[in-house]
Amino acid sequence: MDPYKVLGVPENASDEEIKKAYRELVKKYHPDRYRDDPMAPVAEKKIREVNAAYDMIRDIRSGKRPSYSASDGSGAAGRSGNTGYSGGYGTGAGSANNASYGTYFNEKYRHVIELINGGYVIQAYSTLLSVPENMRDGGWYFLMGAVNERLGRYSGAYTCYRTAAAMEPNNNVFTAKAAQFEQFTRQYAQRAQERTGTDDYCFSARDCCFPFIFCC
Amino acid sequence: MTYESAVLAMLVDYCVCESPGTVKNGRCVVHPAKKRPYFTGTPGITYAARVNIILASLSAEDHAADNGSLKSRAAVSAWKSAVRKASGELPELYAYIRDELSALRELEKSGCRDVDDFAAPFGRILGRIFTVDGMISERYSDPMYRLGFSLGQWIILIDALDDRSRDRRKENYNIYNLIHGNAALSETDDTVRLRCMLEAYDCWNEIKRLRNSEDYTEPVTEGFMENLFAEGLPHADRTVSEAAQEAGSENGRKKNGKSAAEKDRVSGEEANGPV
Repeated sequence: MDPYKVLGVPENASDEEIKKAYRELVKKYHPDRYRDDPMAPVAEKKIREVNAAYDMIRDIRSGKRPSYSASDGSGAAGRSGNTGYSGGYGTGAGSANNASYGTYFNEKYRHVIELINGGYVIQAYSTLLSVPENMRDGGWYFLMGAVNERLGRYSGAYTCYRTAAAMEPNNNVFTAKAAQFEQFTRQYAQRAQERTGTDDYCFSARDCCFPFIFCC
Repeated sequence: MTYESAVLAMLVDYCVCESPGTVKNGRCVVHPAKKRPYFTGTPGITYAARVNIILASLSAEDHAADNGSLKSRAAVSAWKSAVRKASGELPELYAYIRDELSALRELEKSGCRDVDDFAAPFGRILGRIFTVDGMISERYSDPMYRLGFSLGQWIILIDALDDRSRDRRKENYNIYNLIHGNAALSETDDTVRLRCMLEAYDCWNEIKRLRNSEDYTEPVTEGFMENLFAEGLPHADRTVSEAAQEAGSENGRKKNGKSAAEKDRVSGEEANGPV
């Protein structure tokens, strides 16, 4: 599979162009648009392809895989949502393909993952809440973590990721995500400290930003 | 203009590529002795000044209503005309900020113990302020909103941390005191603040990429903002955390007899979804 062809972008397209093309295709083939539609299976197949292609390009560009020809597109979980320094954040919900579902998630979460990947976070949240409490497993907490993270609710996200890892300690994706959440923030702080160098650094962002606080 | 308004002005002007602003040298009322460089005549500066007035006036109103202090009432009275003008220019933003501040007060009154719930209103306020309806190109709106949202969350949380001792003495609401009592903050608390800063830095990078793709010369403010998001925020966070720790969290932790790590242990009951 040529992931660039699937997304309809040239191989030298920028990250932004790829992201844009990906979002448009996800919207186009989203399951919500094909409810009670005879074309639903086709759209479902297409969206899997699109997700796999997007993951593949991300992996190629981040150096995780050499090129699209070297793989069949069974992408790893932990799709990067954002760009830049924190690369590796995002839903972490995994590639929307069979390999990921079978390996990391119960099949029942397929729709939730597609909703998250498509940007329908509130719907994903509602769907997750409809799962009875006694049925909430590690996958549920992991995905709830992804929803919280997308909503900027970082305390809830971190707690959910850690709960998922605690409930299923043998699931490498869950344990890695919980560790990664903390690790990326530490790396950012560490790099900042290294760049700053000394403690007598003259510029303080706190002095700069704190006056907003007169409002709080 | 306060320091934070200057950051807002620079960010807005950074996104409004047509008006990068000019730097001049001159004297000001506060520093009449020595000439200093200053920016002038940009939409960002005008916007930030209005926002500044709105935030200051709503804060003064709030303090006046709470404790009726002479200082607050004097401020409300002194700014009346400026506020009327600023809120007239930005009526929707004014109403939005007022509503969100009211939501924040309600959370405080109800003794909110959820960090995400507590941080959200101020995040939304800064998110809305940073999107600058209609002034910046639509493509900047999303990263600017997220930047404002994250920065707002971080600001209110670091402020709560900074005020722990004072709030404890005055028996004022403080989310960290409610959650931890006298004990030190948990690893989760520190991670959450760092995550907010990281998100802000990530958004800044996205804004920078968008801006640089437009083939304009690099604005003189870019280095300053890079410095702010890459180094300044974590530096400030570290400074406040250390000061707060010295101010008594360690003693509190001993008294409490339970370590922060123990308190931070995750259980299924602790994991909450968004409300």
